[in-house]
Amino acid sequence: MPDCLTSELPFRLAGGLSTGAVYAMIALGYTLVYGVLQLINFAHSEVFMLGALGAFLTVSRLVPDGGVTSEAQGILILLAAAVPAVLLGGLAAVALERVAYRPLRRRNAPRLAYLISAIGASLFLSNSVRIWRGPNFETLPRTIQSRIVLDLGNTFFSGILPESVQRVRIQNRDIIVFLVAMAAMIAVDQFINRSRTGRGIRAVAQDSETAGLMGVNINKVITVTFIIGGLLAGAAGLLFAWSFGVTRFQIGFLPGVKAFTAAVLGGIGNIRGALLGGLLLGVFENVAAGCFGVQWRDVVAFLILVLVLLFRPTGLMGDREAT
Amino acid sequence: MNTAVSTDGGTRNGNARQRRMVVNAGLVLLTLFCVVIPHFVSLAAQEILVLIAIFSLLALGLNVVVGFAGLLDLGYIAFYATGAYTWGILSGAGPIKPPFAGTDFWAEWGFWIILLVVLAVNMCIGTMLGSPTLRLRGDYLAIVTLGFGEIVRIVANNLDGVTGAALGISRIPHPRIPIIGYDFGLDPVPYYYLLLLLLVAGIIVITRLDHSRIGRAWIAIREDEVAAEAMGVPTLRMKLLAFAIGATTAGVAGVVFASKSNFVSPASFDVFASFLVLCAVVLGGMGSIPGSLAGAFVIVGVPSFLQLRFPELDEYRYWTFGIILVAMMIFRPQGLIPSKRREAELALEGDPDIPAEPAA
Amino acid sequence: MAEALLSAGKVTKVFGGLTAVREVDLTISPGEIRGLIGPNGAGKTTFFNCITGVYKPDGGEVLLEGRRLNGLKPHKITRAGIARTFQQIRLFGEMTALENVEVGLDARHRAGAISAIFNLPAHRRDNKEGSAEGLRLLRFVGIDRYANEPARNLSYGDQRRLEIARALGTKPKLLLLDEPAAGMNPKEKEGLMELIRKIRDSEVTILLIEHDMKVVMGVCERVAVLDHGEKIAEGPPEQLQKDPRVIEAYLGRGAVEDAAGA
Repeated sequence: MPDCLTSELPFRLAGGLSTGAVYAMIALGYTLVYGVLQLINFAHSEVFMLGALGAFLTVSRLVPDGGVTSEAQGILILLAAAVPAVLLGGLAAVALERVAYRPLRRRNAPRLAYLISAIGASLFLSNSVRIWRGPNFETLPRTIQSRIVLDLGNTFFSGILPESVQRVRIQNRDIIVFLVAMAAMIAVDQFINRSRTGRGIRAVAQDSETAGLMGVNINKVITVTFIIGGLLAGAAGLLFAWSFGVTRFQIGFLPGVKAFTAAVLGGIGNIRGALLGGLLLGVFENVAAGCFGVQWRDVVAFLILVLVLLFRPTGLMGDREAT
Repeated sequence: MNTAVSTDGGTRNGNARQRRMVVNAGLVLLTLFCVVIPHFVSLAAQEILVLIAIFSLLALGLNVVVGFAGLLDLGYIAFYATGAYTWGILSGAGPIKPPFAGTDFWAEWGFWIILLVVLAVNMCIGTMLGSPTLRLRGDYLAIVTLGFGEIVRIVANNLDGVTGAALGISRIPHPRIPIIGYDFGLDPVPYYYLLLLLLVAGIIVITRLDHSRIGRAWIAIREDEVAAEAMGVPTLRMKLLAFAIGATTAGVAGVVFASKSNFVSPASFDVFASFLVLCAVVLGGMGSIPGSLAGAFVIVGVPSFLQLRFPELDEYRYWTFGIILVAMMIFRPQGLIPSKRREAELALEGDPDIPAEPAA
Repeated sequence: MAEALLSAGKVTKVFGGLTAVREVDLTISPGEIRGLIGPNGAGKTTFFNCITGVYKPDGGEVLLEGRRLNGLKPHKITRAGIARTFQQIRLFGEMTALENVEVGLDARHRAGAISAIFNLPAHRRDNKEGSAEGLRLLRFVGIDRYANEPARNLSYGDQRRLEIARALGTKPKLLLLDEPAAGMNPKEKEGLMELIRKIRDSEVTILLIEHDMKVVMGVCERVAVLDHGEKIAEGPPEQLQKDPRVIEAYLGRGAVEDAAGA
């Protein structure tokens, strides 16, 4: 057995779960929009990128010259950065819907038109950032020190554990990202399932024509859907920027495609499916990176996408046929 | 039949004939212009002409896939890459040294043989990729092809022993005309003429297909796949054919590109290159052959010429394209030079002011 | 009695837990105009889709002149000799009326890509024959003056006629019409009935789904009635009008539904 499946496995699982949680947050936006509009919001990845940018700008302004003095200060700064990140995400998503999609909906355009418009919007957004911030990676100042919080090799009962488990070391970063992402997604799930607006979203997703006849304001539902997706993607951007420590105009693309893969894997249109798909994809690709080398990680993710679409287009939990 | 412009009244035939004559005269002038132009411009401009011609070939092929058959292929550039790498590897310039490479025969004929071989290679790759994925609905196809395009790029980036990884393959031989022994060298002009010939061949092939039952089948599929199937159109086979034609066109462009720049590396084939070609097709008018060429000119030619004068504008390139794509979908979905059919579909309230001739 | 053109035996289609079509038998002789009626949701269009290959039947078999069609792709079935129109019009909107018919005619054409690329005689012949025959069919259904008009610009009734012409282009032995009279005014319906008879006289057998009883009574010699996915009756229309099962299928349920829906 290779290391990636034995001694490295717990470590890879932890990393995979935290990356996967970020994918899942973005995937939720794809899935929600797909539910109400039956289209892939191709520019969603840039919403995520803008969230990361918002986080970066805030953090780099708030962190004092000599660096943060205490962990509490770091946490406060991150919390403060969450506000612009999430707002920027929500705002960008709504603007996207208004500018790139609504005019097309009005004239009942063919599906192809939406995709092309979305690609255009995506190019516009990412290159706006490129023009403003330049083409290079920008580094976030340190806020919370990344450290190992769980080291099974160094506890009271380490002796009784198998050697491979003893090597498990989990970082605070992975735990925080995972927990924050879970909390955000549970909140959205509850909102969709419990609130009046959420009911509207589900109604439109089921049958928008009937929902319209029943008095649901479809345009409003669509706007709200984009906002929710945008808020989540913005928050995911913050987590991403913090956990990798960098941001750039192009960071949206790969997580975007992977989140879409996650949405399809879980079953497009299905909220819990997006969560499951995100976590699974994060774990798969992280383990695969260990087995085949990190340069093949993205290939594994893309292969999963292709295979799922070919063999189980409804995804793991979905009921919608993707063909 | 589809050349008849539908205007009202009995003057239809007269009008159509007149218009045809104008169009034909315009085409002759345009062709002449394309033939003589390299002799009146600087070396830098000649390089740009080659770039436009390569891009026109790419746009021509993608137009069959996206414009005719309505299949959004976002990994199109991968076929350009396989073309370029086929020549790069088999020329003997890469890490693998095929036994025939290095012979005098190969130095003379290699390029031309590969130009044909790549048709078969890309048709195979296109069919292999297409037969499972073309069953998928439109937007899924887009994502899967995007994934495929990235896979090709990443593989090229990592197979050191075959593709030279990130450093790519350099010193790819220039074409030579056999018997005469004329070497293309670094001079852009012979490449330009070669590309012009390939373009003319491509235009003829694709126009003829468009006016055959195959072209009708493509449009029918784009319009309503279920109805097309019910009318006896073998939809999967026709989609595969569109895909394969796109793939071969891009492959040919890739071979010429590799020998012109005598260097290939994965960096040329990222997803943004696919977007660029798509942008040309959409801007020109999906389903319109003159449109694709005009689109290639606007997308590659205009910014490159501008860059000669104003290099600092380059960073606005993709930004502008983004705006163009969105604006076109909102305000002029039928493109600069719409196909006669497409115009009717995309602009529902549309005004039928068809420009009579290519603007390129 | 002549040999059957179409013989469907025990055709069954299940969606999830719901049996949309249950063991339906239907035999049609050449030259017939057969009606297929039944309340909404009775499974008529599903039955059509089973015959034309849009759905794969879960049971039973479909034979055209003794040849088994089950499991063939729709385009193969079309080429075998069954053409159809759609309940909701599905024309190729931006193609001209003539081109729409040509797509149908292409089902009989064999010239391939190579032939087209090199403009070989086979391809030229196909194209020429296609336009001539296409125009003839447009004239046959009475809309040849719109030959060069994009299909989407045609009036509703003319679009229905164009769909029929397009289906006839595939040179079917059996033509399936799915509610062709829907949305037509009485005068258009008259014209449609005339057209249906004319098609039969040109040696095309017809299976007609229709809600409009006047049209059914006017053109069909025999009618089959579906209800809840099962064939409940079959016979000449006058006889069916008196059949208590048919009356119940239409009125009984209708009354119940009205009460429940109010």
